[in-house]
Amino acid sequence: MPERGAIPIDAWHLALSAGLVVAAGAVSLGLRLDLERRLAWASARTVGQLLLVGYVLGWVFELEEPFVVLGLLTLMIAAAARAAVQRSSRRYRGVHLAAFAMLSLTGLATTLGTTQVVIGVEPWYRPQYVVPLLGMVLGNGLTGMSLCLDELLRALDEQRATVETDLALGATRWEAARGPLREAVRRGMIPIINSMMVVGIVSLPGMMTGQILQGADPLVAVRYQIVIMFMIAGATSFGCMLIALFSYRRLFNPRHQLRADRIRRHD
Amino acid sequence: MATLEVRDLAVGRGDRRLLAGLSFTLAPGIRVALTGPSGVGKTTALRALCLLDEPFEGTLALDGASPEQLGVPRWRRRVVLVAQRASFFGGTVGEELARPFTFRSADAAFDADRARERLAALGLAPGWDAPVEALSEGERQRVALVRALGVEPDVLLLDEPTSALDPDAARAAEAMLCADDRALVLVSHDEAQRARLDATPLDLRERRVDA
Repeated sequence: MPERGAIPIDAWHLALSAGLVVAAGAVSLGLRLDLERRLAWASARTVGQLLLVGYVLGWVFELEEPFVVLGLLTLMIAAAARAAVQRSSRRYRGVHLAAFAMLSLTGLATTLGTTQVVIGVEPWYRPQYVVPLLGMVLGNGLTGMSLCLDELLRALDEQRATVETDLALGATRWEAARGPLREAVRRGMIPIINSMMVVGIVSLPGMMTGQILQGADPLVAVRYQIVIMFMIAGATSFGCMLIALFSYRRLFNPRHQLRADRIRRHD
Repeated sequence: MATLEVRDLAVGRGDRRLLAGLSFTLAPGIRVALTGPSGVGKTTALRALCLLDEPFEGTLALDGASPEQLGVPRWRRRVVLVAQRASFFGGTVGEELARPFTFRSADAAFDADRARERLAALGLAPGWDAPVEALSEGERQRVALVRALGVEPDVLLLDEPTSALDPDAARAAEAMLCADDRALVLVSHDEAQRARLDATPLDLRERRVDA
């Protein structure tokens, strides 16, 4: 019988792995890349953030309180929404709230839908399932959403003249916007499609790696991974579509006017 | 062709009011030139007339019908703006000219023969299947003019319509603009052109809002 469960890593061995980062720092020093400080800060953050999340998760897993789980999910969605907007080079008033709403809708619908219907998790808020699954959906969803937003706002800002040419020739706001909208949703969906193309060949997804390290049957891990990929694809495409449609409503008014003045650049 | 009525229009950019009390009536065949120094609000006024920007106040009507009654897209099809810099969508000359007829507001079929005649009259040598992106600035300006005329508007709003054209091509364009009884609102720095088009000057300095 193979041993079940991953071999625990003690503090001493954890410190040993830090030697690898120190080696990276030495490379930076040797080649004058000027990255030592950032590398040190990033390493410190990695340790701090992961330890913190480890304790929080341990606490949440032990409590198994639905409201605590929901609170944690809300925090995760808020952080993802913030990151999605931050990564886009342009924004408009209300975009944070919109990203939060769209990520909540698509993230919770796919996560709870999958845990309930496909996996059959009981009780529905069981954090060991819900938290990491939502995390994966959000991580990918926010990338798609930020690319989608970035593309749409860039197009409406930089190609304002072409959009208004359509409007000036009698296009409705929908007819004038559908080209940029289509491109934006497309751009948001490309990363997940690309990763579905190479999954298992080039990359072993983190969750599958984790399950295999835990001693799970690879075929079980694979089934989970397939479900996850489909969840992510569904959530990302709906998230992109919803944020694109919401942005369309904010940036075109019912008088078929483009309100490009509502778009703000930030760096 | 319908008559455009503009009453007490106030226009501006963003929150800033530039012009107020703009009133005029354009019966078929009437041509008006908006004049005044740069920044006075000539382009802003054109954009408000076709409702690309919302006027601050005032009313617009075509033969008594307001933009609300017609619907804004249909209004813009009858009061067409030709912007100073022509924009296209990566198609060929023929595709770009046909594009306005893919919109729901189209009330007629695309008349390709008419469009070909107009291209020829403006001396546009490149063919129907040439990509617009490959044309010169002056050729693009003429394609944009033919595209706007193709929707057969009642009123054309022209922002420096011949700025990239040589004198011969400019004359050909002017002749085409005067060929039927379409009303025109012209912005042009060329005083001689305003005279050739027999456009009544409307000095916007007198309508300026000095904040």
